[in-house]
Amino acid sequence: MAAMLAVMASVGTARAKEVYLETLKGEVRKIPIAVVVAGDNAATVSMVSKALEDDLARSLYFDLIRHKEIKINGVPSKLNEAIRGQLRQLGIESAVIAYITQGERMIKLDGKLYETGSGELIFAKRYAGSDNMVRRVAHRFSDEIVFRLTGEKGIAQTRIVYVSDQTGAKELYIMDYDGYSPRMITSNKSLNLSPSWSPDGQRIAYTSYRDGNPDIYVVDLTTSKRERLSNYDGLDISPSWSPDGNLIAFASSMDGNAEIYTMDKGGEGLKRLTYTHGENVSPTWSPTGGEMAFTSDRGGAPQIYVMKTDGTNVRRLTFKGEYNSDPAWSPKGDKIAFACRRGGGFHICTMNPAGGGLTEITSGPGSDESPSWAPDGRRIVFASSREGRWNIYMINDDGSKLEKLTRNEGNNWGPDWSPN
Amino acid sequence: MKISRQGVRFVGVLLMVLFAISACSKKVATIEGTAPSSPSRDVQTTVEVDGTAKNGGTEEVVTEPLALLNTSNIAEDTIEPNDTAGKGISDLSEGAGSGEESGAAKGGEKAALTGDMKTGDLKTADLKAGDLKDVFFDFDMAILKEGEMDILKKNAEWIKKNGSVVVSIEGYADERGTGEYNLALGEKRALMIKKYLTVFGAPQNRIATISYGEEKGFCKEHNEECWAQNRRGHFTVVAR
Repeated sequence: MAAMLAVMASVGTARAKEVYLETLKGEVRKIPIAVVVAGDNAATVSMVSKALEDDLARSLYFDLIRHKEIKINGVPSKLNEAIRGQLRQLGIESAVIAYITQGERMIKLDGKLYETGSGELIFAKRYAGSDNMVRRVAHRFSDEIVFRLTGEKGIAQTRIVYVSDQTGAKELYIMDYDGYSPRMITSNKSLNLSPSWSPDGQRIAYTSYRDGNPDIYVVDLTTSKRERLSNYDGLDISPSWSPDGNLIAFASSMDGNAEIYTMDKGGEGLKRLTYTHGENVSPTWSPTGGEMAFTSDRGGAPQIYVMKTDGTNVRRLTFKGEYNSDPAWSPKGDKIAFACRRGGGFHICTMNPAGGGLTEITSGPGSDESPSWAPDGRRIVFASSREGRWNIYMINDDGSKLEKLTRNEGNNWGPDWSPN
Repeated sequence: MKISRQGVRFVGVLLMVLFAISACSKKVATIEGTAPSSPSRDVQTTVEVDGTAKNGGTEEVVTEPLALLNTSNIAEDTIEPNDTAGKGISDLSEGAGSGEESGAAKGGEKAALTGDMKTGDLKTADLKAGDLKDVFFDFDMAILKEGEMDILKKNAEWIKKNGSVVVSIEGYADERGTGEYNLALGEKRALMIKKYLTVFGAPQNRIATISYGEEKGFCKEHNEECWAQNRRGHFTVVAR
C-alpha cells in the first residue's frame, strides 16, 4: 500500500510539473528529435553535429535528445524495426541522419529525416559545397528539417550585420546568425554606423563618414558595388528599408533639426514626413509598410512615436520611463522592441503597436541597446555592455536563452538581422 | 494510514535508479546502411535515384548547387561615383590625397562659395585651433550655460580677427544615450554653438558643423567626469 501511494505521488508530481512548465512557456509541444552524424573525418562530423543540434535547439520547435550511443555506418534508406524501437524508447519522434563525405577541397552531406513511428523517410537531400562551407551546409540542412516538420521557414541561414571597432575604426561586419564566420564589409578607416538590410537580403544601407560628412550609402553584397544615396547638409543617418524594398526612411538635419524623410532606393524622390522643433531619428517600418515607429524628443525627452508612412496620424506610444529609443518593429507585426532606460542604462523592452503590453525582456548590468528582430519574430539581437565591452547578444522574445554572439577583442554595436 | 516522508522518498529514489539502469542498458543502437559513394564534382542540381522511399516510390536526392552557397568577397571599399543623381559629389574624395596646402586652399574656396557647409566637404588637415576653446553641455541638453557664452564670445572675436580661417564645430555626446539619437543631439549642440557665434558677429560662411554623437569620445572611462568631458562642442580650424 505504501509503495502504491508512493508511485501515485511521484506520478502526480511529475504531471503537475509538466503542466506548470508548459503553461509557463506558453508554447506548443516541442518535437523530440535526435541528430546522428557520421563520416570519414571526425572533426567535420563533430562540427556538423554540433551545428545541426544547436540550430534545431535554437529554432524553439524541438526538444533535442542528445545522445552518444547511436552510431551509423552510412545513410539507410529506411529505418528497420529494431532501430525504430531503440529510438522510440528514447522518446525520439524524428531522427536526423547525416553522412559527411570529405573529398578534395569539398564536402558532401547526405541528409535524411525519418519519422520513427513508422520508420518512413520524410525527405532526403544531398548538399555539396567547398570545404570551407561546412557550417553553411549544416545550416541549410537544418532549415529544411524545420520547414518539413513545422511548415515555418528556419533562420539558421540568416546573418547579422553589425558595427565593430576591432581594427580601431568603426567598420561593418557580417556574421552568421550564430556568431560564426564574421567578415568585414567596409574598410575605409572612418565611422560606419547603423547598418540596415534590404528586404531581399542583397544590399545593406548604412551611415558612413568615409567622405567626411555623415551620409547614407548602400553596398550591394553580390556585386560589391557601393554608392552614396544621400549627400544633404548635416546628418543623414539611421536608414531603414521599406518592406517592399523600394524606399529608405532615414533621419536628416538638412532642414536644421533632425526630421524623418524617405527617398527611393536610388536616392531620388525625397519626401519629408515629420515637422517638429525636436529631433526625430531611428525610423522602423511596420511589416505591411503602412506605418512607421521612430524616436522623437518633441515632447521633451526621447520617446517612441508611430505615424502612417505618409506622415499623418502621429501618436506617442511610450509613457513609462524618461528615455525610450531605438524602436524595431517585429516582422510578424505584433510587437515593437526598443531600448527602455532603467536607472543608469537601457534594457530591451517590447510592447504591442498600440503601446500596451509593455514587457522588459532583459535585465542586468550595463546597457542593452539597438534591438533587431529575427525574421521568425521569436527572438531579438541587440548590443550590450553587460560584460564591460560592447558585444552582440541574442535572446528569445520571452527573455529566455541569452546567447553572446561576438567573440572578438573589440566593441560591437548596432546589429541588424537579415531577412530569411 | 500514515506514511513517513522518508519512506516515500526512498521508494521514489529506488524507482528512479531502476529506471536509469534500464534506460542505460538499452540505449546503444547501431544503424546499418551503405556509405555514399565518393564526392561528386558536379556542382549543378542533379537528381539521383537512391533506394526505396515513402509509399513505395523512388526517393529523390537533390544535390544542392555550390554556387548558391557561395558568398562573394566583399571586403573592398570602393564607391562607384553616383553622378546620375546629379548631386555634384565627384570632387569630394580628392582633398585627402592632394596635400595639405592645396586641400586647405580648396576648403577655403568652397567655404566662400557655400553658405551652409559641412566639415566633411572640406576634407583638410586639422590645423591648430589656436585660441579657440571648447564648450561643454549638461546631460541631454543643447542649451549653453552662461560661462560657455563668454567662451563663445571670445571664440567669435578670434574668428572675426583671423579674417580667412574656417572653423569646424564638432558636436559630441556622452555614451549614456542611444547612438542614433546622440548623433542628432551632437548636431543640435554644434548648430547651437554656430548660432551664437554668428549672433556674436562671426561670419556664418566660415563656420562648418559636424556631429560625432557618442561615436568618438574624448574620454573612454564610464563615469560622470568622463561623460562631462564628452558632452562637448569642439573647435578645429579646417582652413586658413
